[in-house]
Amino acid sequence: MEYAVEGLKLKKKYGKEIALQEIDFTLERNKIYGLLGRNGAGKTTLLNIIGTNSFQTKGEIRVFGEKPFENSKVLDQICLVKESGNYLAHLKVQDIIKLASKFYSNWDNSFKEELIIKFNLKMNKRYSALSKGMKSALGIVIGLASRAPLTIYDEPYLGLDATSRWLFYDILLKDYIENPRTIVLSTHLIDEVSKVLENIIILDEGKIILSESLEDLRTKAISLTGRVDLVEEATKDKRIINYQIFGRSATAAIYDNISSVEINEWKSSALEVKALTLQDFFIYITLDKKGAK
Amino acid sequence: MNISLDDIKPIYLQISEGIEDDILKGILEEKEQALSTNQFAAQYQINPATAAKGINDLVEVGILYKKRGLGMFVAVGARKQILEKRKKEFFKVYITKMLIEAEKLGITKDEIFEMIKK
Amino acid sequence: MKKVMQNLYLNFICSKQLLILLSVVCSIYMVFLYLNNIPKVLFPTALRNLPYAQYTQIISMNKPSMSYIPMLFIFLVVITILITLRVTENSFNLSLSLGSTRKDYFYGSMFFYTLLAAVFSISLTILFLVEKLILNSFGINQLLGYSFLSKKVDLINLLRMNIYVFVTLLAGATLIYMLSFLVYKVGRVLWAIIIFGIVTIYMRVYPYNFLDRIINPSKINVIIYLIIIFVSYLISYFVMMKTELRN
Repeated sequence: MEYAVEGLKLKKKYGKEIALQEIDFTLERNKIYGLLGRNGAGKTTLLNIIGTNSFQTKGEIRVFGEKPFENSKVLDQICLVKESGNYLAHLKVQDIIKLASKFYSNWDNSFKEELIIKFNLKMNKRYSALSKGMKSALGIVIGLASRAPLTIYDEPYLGLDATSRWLFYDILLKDYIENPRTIVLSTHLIDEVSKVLENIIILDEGKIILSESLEDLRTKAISLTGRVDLVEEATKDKRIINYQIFGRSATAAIYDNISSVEINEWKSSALEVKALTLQDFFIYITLDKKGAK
Repeated sequence: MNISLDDIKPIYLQISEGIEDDILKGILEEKEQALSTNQFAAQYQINPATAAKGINDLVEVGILYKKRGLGMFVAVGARKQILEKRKKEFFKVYITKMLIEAEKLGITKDEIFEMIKK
Repeated sequence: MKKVMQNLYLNFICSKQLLILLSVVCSIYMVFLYLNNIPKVLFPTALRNLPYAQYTQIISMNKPSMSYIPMLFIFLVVITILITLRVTENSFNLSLSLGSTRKDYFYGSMFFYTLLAAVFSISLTILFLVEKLILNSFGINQLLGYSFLSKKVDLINLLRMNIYVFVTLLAGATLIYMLSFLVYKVGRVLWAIIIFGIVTIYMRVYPYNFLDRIINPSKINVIIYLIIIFVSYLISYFVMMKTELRN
């Protein structure tokens, strides 16, 4: 079965600055991916290359098995919802939506009608007159209604209120269940989004430092709290990504292969064993540069 | 059912145990229809693949079964099956935990027997 | 083909607001010109103070002729340039963000500007005829044969005038289109260099009236315009293929 997206030694340079350092990755079809990374890690760069808004300096990109550049058939299957849209400034919301409906051949009009009501879009307003939250809502509506087989949301939340975000996850999930498609969510609201994700990819300084399923990650990303010596003993040959001491107790965040035997051992030795939340894991892994204590 | 993100227990396991709890509590009765994978995922806002794993695990051990075209149903004898499994775990999890805590607090086994008798 | 039409529609939507605004302003001004100056032509004492006199040449006091169509032509050139300037960057960004290929965008916008020039030139010809009717009803002659204006009111001459106007407008549009892409790729500094360059070169080569040069038809003009159209589109296409979207 072919992949939704394949990247082979993708490199992107802006002058002397290297934004993507020869990354390799694959995205499987019909899964929900989370693309995480600090500001400037290269997420938007990567997503723009997938959508051919940008060109890679070296390497290959394939979408649904074909190269996307100037490929009308493939580009029609990709919907990239971007964070900003200055070029839309003078257009009315209804015009923007009308254009989107023409450009995406899988567009679902009745779904769009539903979404306009749910997200409370003001059709007659000019884009520049919308609040940040409304602009985000517009992007989300387009992404959802496009029904594009590869739908990418690049930081779709700016200014969106909690209720609208909840609505987004709700509708996204329900629609994905009924009409599966490959979805990529690039966001900073990590814990909020983690429940709906199946796989995550973490970019850091232009490199992919992690690419796995959330399931697998949860078995490897663990925090241990207890007496300092017990913690040290338990973690002596594990990769520690964060370590904090409070008096005689310590909390260690580890990321390593861990067996259920070890977990039971720890539990029975008066150590508090918890799974790291995705956000905490992300923070530690991106702060931890050397990979050792 | 509450899905806890920092519980060491994998989410799919929280799901299958949550459904088992519902069966034990009588919220779900035998031969009654349970939520399908998709309904479950939509209701709790979790990824369907994760929900599927939790539910399919229960199907595999025979606690739930699928009626084609109709959905997921609770098997006859599910309650008994779950009770047996839980009893075994009870000793492993609760008793052991209690003993560890007792050791931490310096409570002897005799003191524990006394407390239980009361 | 469908994608090309979609891009045509996209360009239209992007330009709609500006198009309407400029057309309205232009129309109001033209109407004002006529309302203001027809009476002046009818009452000869005011003739000497007629504004834009070079565009309304008076042949004789007994049978005055006038036409503000040259004025309209200049307006149309300016409008076309302004629209191209404003729309190009936005529509390129929008089109590619919606998943169009650069090729489809190129053909779609090429089609758009051709249509725009055609609609404007045909409108000008129609207004030329309308003006004739209006002026004649006041007993004023329409100025014929001056500059690019049709010598006679018959099909061949009107067609010639129409084509000249069309080619001029299209040359303006494509030139600005190409420059917009170059600037988009290189940076805004390029505009300063371009404008400075044009003004300097122009002052040297054509020291007399700039607008005259554009609207007075001559074979060289038409050839230059056709070359501009062809070269601009060619350069635009190749620059566009290498252009990444900016935010």
